[in-house]
Amino acid sequence: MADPSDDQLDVYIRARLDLIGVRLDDLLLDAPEAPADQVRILASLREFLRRVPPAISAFAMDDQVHLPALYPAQLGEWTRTSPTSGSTRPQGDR
Amino acid sequence: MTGLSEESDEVPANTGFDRRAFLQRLALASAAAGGLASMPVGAAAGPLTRPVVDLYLQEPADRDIDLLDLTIAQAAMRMREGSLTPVDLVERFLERIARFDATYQAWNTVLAERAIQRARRLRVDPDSPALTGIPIAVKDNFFTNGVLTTANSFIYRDFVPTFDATVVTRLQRSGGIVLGKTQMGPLATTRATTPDGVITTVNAWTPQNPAVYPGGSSTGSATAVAGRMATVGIGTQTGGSITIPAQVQGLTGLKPTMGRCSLFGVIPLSYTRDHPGPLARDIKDAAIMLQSMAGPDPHDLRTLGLPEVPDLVKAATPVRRKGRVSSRWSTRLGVPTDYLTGDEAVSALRRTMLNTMSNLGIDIVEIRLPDEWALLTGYAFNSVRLPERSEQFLEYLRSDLKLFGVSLTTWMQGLFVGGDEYVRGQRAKLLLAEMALDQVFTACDVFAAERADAFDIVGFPLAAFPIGMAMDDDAATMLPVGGLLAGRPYAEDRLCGVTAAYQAVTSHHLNRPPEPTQAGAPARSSTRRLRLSLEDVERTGA
Repeated sequence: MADPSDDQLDVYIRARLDLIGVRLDDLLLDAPEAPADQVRILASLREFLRRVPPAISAFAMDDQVHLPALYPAQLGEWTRTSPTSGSTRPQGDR
Repeated sequence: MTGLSEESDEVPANTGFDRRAFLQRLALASAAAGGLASMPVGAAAGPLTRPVVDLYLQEPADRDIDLLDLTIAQAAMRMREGSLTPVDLVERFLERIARFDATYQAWNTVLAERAIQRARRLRVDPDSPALTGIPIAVKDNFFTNGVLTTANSFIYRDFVPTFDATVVTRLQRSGGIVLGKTQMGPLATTRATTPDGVITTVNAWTPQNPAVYPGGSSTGSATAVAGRMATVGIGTQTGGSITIPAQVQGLTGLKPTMGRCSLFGVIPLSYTRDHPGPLARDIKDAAIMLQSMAGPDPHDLRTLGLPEVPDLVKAATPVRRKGRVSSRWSTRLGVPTDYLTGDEAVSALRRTMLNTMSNLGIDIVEIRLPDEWALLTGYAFNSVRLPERSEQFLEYLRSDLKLFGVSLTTWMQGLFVGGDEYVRGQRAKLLLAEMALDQVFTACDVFAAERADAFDIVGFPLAAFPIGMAMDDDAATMLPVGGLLAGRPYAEDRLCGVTAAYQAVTSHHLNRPPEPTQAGAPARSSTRRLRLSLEDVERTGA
């Protein structure tokens, strides 16, 4: 599958922003001295779109085991079923 | 020898974090999310009022230590002896801030009058809470009642909260004095700058050279402590923002497990990755702070239903066996296979650190990280955090993109992570946590991490501490180098124990930066105004 062109990505980016009410036109078009401008934001978003979604979507996992976990550290504690599997079991300590 | 306790038979928390049981329980995961509302709401942890003074009293009674250099433990001991008052300490720091902060630029707001008034009201006696009279630097993303809280952002430039963050409340209940609010990366993204990217806070080790990286985004709190303008500070970490400033400024930073500290009253960057924690002079101070900060908070569901906070202060008090300092617990320190293959000077310091750990009775074991580790902690999967900030700030994005100044890029990127990618990213977090538990923490108890990212993603705890100095060619001077240890979830005590033993036999944490050569001279007046670009912030941001 061919990579989308810059123009195609720019159309996608602007359409997405329009749909949710974010106005890229708040920024100057091309102003290197400004903190941000449209040219640099678009360039950054194009690179991001070329790198991030493809890499994530290409990675497959076991859908029976790896559920979504917003908070993996807490999840281990929130799903304990027995206090004996808790946090103070001696294990090789002096 | 002082500051040491004898043998300890107690067990560190979470030695039994069981991966298999963890995975078996995942079938209940969705139920757990639905069941949060019905969970018993834990009472907010009160101040640390139990008598830890016995541990303070074992601190070195060196009369020559300047007030500005005292640890919490040393200052508390002097106050209890009657040779130091909270007012003395606050006034000394205020004098130094007045003299040098034009150079360091660590503070946004200095609460001079308020701090002195509070210091005058405090009485120190043997039953005083742990932090009584201790001046604390607070990052400017923690809500402080009646005090401007800007997060160095245009968005919050006029924001004055009407309550304190839970963490700030707890520190004050423990007797702490908020000395002021510190500079930070805009909205907790990069090193401290103005919202439009002009560098403010400098590395305390190179006060005349703002080009030297001071760590971000808790830069101001780090420089306030390293620059001897506060006894201790607090910051937040989403992508290394406590541990990196600690590493590059010779401090000890403790990023606790996700959920240990409440985020109620903290301007959010990422709901799933923000962690409050201390920046301190040594691990005992970090432990004293975290002991006061941590615990369940009914206002923050992420803190409920978790193991009790262990006795961190005791854990951070090194032990002796047969007359020698020893690790408090039998401990295996995991080292990744490429740990000693980078920069020559840094590798030499790391090798020396490992030798010291070995001499403390800690077993060094080599860990080969899973093949997918780099992918799951790299750019793409690390970007899964970004929709959280975009969603949180969507109204401001709609209002005016210029409000985000030089930090805009990642907020925009977050709008372009699809729902399917976000969900897959959350699944990958569970896989990464499984890898960490199954392939790292079954073979070791603490892990010598090279970067914080993986452990920020899964929310496991980290301790950063100085391991020596190395020549920085760009800065043409010696700068601190920090080590970084990761632990199992809710096993901060293990990290404290290992770091305390290390600091009991080394002196790197006692190094202090040189004084600024020109009192009151803004660093940027002698050089061009350095400014971060949009690309700089994206590259270095949290």
